[in-house]
Amino acid sequence: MKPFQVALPSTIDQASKLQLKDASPFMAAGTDLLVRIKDYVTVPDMIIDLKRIDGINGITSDDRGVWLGALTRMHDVAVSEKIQQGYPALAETIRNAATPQIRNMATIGGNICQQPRCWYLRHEGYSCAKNGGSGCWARDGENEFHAIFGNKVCAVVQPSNAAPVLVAYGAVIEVQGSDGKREIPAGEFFVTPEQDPRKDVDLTSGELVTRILLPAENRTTRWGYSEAREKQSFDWALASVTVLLDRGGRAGEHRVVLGAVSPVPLRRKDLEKILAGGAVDGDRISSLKKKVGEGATPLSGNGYKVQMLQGLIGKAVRQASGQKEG
Amino acid sequence: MAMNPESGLPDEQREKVSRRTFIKGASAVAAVGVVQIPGAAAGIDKAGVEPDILGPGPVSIRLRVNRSDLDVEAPPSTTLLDLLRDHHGLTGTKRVCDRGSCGACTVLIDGRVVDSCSMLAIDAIGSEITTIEGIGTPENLSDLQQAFIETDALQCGFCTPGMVVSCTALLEQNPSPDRDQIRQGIAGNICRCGTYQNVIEAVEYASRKGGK
Amino acid sequence: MCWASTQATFGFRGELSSSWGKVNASECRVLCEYVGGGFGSKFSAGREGVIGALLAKQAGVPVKMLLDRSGEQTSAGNRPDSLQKIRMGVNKDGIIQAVQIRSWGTPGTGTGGAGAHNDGIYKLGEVDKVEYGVRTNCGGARAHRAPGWPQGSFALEQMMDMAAASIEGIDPIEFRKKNDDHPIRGAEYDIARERIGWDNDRIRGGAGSICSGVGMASNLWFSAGGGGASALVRIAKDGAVEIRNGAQDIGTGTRTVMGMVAAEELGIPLEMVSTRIGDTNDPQGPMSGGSTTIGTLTPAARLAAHYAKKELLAVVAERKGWDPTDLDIRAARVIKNDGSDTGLSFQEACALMDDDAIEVLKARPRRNYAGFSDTNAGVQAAEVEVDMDTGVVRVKKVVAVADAGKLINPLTAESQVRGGVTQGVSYALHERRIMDRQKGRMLNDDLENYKILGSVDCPEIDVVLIDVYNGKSNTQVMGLGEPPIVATAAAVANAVADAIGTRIFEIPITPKKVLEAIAKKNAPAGGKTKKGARL
Repeated sequence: MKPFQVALPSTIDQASKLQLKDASPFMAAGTDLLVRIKDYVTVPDMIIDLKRIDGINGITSDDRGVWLGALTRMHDVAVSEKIQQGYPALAETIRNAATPQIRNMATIGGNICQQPRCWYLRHEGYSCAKNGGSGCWARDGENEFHAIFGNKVCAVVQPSNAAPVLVAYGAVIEVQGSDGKREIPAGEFFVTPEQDPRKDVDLTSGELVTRILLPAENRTTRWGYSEAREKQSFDWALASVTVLLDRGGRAGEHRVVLGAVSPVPLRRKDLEKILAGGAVDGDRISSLKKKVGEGATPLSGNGYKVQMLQGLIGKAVRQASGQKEG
Repeated sequence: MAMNPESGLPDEQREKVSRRTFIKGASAVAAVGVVQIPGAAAGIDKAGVEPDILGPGPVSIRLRVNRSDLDVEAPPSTTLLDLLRDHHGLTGTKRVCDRGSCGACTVLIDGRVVDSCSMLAIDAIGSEITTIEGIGTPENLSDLQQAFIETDALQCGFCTPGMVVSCTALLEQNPSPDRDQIRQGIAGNICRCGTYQNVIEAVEYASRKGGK
Repeated sequence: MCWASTQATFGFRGELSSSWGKVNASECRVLCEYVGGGFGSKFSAGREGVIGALLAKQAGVPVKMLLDRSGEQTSAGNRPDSLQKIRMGVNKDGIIQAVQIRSWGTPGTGTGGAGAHNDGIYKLGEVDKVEYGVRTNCGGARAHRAPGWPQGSFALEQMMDMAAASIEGIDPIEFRKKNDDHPIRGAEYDIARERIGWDNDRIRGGAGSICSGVGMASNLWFSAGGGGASALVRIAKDGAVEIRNGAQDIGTGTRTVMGMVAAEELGIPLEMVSTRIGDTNDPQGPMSGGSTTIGTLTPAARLAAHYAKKELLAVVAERKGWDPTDLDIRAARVIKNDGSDTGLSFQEACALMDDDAIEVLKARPRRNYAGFSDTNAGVQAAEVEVDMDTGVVRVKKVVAVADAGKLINPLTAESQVRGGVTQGVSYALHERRIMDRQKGRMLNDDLENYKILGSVDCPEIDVVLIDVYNGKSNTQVMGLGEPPIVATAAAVANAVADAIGTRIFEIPITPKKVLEAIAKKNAPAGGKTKKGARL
């Protein structure tokens, strides 16, 4: 690892100005950034360590809902009563993510801003559309874990387990730079490669995630989350499905969001519409399964993810509607 | 050497410390460590205006490790793992993947398990760090370490310090975990020899004895 | 002076003093008190070892050489791939008549070590086997626990199941028994059958959303050990006892077992014996390979302890005027042959020496006795659950019946079996090197995407150890490092086939492959819709 400088801003404004000056990366816990530095995927002269900034850590609530400070540890999100009671799908997905060690270190803000795990992107021997070159090695290469939707320009998958769940809850990402604050709906926070292959999230230089709002009006007790992965101890999702039914008690307001199958969490309005069409029975689940793969453009090695989604959507919908595993 | 309890710095160095090097941390990290920057423009008080920028050369880092203070000069880019092993000689904490995937480098920060390879040492300033050396010694093993011996919960031994640290934290939080909870508690610790079942038995053994 | 992580302290020294290393053996001392895992990859000093030593020699300062994870996975060798084609002819009584085997192995840039042991376990009748080593530009091969055996077993044992299925009324276990003449394994099949719940009702063959299956496979090994080791036993005047051998302990418990054998022979408790290992200044010891360390070392330890005791008793007899042939030591007391106590403790006996110590160096006999059994055999059975919706395989339980010669330390023996099974399950479900087809670079040179079985995935492992007094040496012990990994992946594969009703011929058995196999199986019957869901 090449030694680097560490800047220790104590305010958001300081942090922001530092990045505007020479584009140094922000570091929350560092569980992602340090790995990339050690692998010489990124070789910064300086990193901006955000841990000493006050006011962006911890879980609070107000009329609008529950706010997660960006520096809140994943573990603390998962065990928070506010989250477990109000947004159980989020607690569930984080509880199973990564390892106990990582959950104690990694922050929710860092989690949604982490770089995709694509092995080409994270290999110093390759350059692609995402890191300054052009093209996508995965499309013609080893793509078993890659995207089956929206993969024309770049086939990475969004790596955060929490991200699709945040989208389903209609979370709001509060970001702040030296020009002030913005609030971005989670569904628009993640940037598709078509929009900009260099970017993972909608942050401009100098902006950082400060808080995440889980809106009170989107709580629901009817939720389902299913995920498949090769290993049950420390592994990444191959695909996930988040289903929320009757958000905020509003009949028919459903959310279906797919994870780990496209470069951004993929909300599926067409599936939500099927769900809104009536009771969740075998026929409806069959329709969902038939539909879930629509629009997929699998690569040479990841067509199985369509089949997997068919299985996962059945599980998530049954869980959300209180039905037993068939 | 006389220490100043507030700054955590030796008195003789204290005068050189301006507010800009006195770093107040956010609540969870609770960092009130002191980093002395050699060669930096000491004395110019710009706190709140200019942030501290450390390195890339060595800075003084004081860590609280196994209930005593350890001072070292190291670049701020040094990971906690490297600092413990290479600067403090605490080689019980192992380096295997160095990427947060294997748990061999597990230590406790304020009682919580973390991968010491995946954080900067300076971010551990102000926290209570416990390594395997702080859990027991060959002459005075913890109950859990004794249980590892009784149940043969180690083979080559390389993952063992991390396993013991993880299991110690687990028992601290949950004195009588069931098998699934133990499995989850060590889910971040890879053992190539395949001792998982024995480790589970060791935790159960220590738990039955009411120890940690 | 080299502190090395090696499975062969003496081999390491040999490489350093070879033409490349250019060090005099007499000037070179290799120390390895703890190896930190080997599994076959550390027989050689490797480029990294020799380069480290050369750098230190030329620079005149200590050099620390450490491969990082990526370096380890890209430049320190790999377990070879294997591709096998097997045809088997079986008569209507279920007796194998002949097999034809073609296999291809990849030793990388090397030349050997890629063979698949697929014809060693059962009576196969006429065998026509041709094996090819395919050189690839992907780094060399290194041994990994039972090199070639898990690969061979994976192919052959699936063939055995398929052959059994082709004969009316013979189940896979009966078929194996018919074609297996190992005296111990015959009994092992029945133990495994009962303990895995082979005949239990279960939802199998892809008929439910969670399907369950069982599978079985066998293993064989040859680990009675041989010549090439000496042990030194030193009994000091103050009663301190030490046993020394320069070989290493790769985590199998060699250190403990050497001490146990010496203590037993000397008639004193283990706590009174200290053991020194991992130092080439001490007597010659074997490399830890082929699971032969324990079978090679312990007879030398026993002999050295035996003659050291004899010398001690001779001193006692001379000083006390007793008959040396009437003396022995039990529970750290000097006793007479009739069992009566002489009133002399072990320590008091030692104090009678004129010399500072008795030192006896004994070599292990080169040849083994004829004995009863040359091989140690085992049977493993696996129970799996497969989620038909996601293709995720969970190995619930593995029964491992293992014969380990005469058991010296049942606790560490069981640990070896558990370890072999754990690695075997990991091999079956997760482990693979992913090479980029475009640039030929390894893409998973880490522990994130080179997946290793973790605690949550680890099955319940039910170990049954069979104590076999094989008469091969004065300790009758057999090594148990490699045998328990041989059958595991094959047993898992057979169990998966039982569960999903179709076979997967490639490891690792990932969700992708399971889903693809299910889709393929369902395709001719009417499209690839989700498998008669919710039955």
